[in-house]
Amino acid sequence: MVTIQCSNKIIQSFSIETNVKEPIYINGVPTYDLHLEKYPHQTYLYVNGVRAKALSGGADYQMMEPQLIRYLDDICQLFDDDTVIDIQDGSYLPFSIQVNGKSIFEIESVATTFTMNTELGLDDIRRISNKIEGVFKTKIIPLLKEVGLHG
Amino acid sequence: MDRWELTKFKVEKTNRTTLYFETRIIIPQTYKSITVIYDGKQLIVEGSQLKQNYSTYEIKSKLESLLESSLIKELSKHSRSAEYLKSFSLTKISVYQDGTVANLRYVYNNKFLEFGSVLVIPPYKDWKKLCEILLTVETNAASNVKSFYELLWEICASKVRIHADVNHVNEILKILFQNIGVNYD
Repeated sequence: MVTIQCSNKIIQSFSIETNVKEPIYINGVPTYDLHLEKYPHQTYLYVNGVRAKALSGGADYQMMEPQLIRYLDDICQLFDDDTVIDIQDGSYLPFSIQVNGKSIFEIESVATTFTMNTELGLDDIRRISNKIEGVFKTKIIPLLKEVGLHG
Repeated sequence: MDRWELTKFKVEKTNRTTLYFETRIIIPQTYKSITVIYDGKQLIVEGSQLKQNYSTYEIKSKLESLLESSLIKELSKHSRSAEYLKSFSLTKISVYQDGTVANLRYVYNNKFLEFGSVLVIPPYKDWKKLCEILLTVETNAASNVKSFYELLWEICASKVRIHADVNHVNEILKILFQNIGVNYD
């Protein structure tokens, strides 16, 4: 799952779960399941709780940090207020959006039934989901792949 | 004539042959409820058969048309069984001063797609606006989030057809009411 938190059209924090074929060594342990994070008011990338630049390959991670943040800012441009977006892995489509703590879009799945409750029209949902899906599939994931943090 | 309120509208076809339709209205001032049924052969109003005429044919043709909706065709792509049920109905009907809103529910076999609320009486005028208004969508035809999204886009792609479906509902009621002496307007 991917979670993005935006404020004033700028990324505040994010959490991206990935897995890799070539392990990243974290505290000497080969790790395949990664949890990439940026915390609020910081501009650094953390991998499984460790600052990325401290890891082997850290120079590459540090170099791509600003680009990654720019891409996420691009998504945050869609929202004026404090917004939390939950995005499904793989499809990179949003399934929940909260603005100022209030849900404006939610897809729930219970057994075989999907339900969407929203305060947005379908045209707006399409605009938002196309943007998020596009940024992830064509920019963020290729960038993470390039430095070995995805796939 | 007293004001009327729609409480039920459902058409279905089983095993590709039997067309069944039921609609119910109430006249709030008199608490009178009127049920109209089409059992595949005849129109029955409160247990009495309505005389067969051109209107009967017209109603049947419009009911058939509702079951040919592109959304039912879309649902059929998600069903592995041969067709045994097609259905269109209005659910969660709410009557307000300015009109009646409801969810539109499309069914193919055991797969359904329901969305709303949509203004059904009088029919919403601008079909282009369907994807600008707030809609709640529910379906069991999607296997994952991606296919759920695809169904959402299918609703938008079908908005002209949905508009036609809502018009058909109104036309059917209009013809029926002419036959049973209820003023549609």
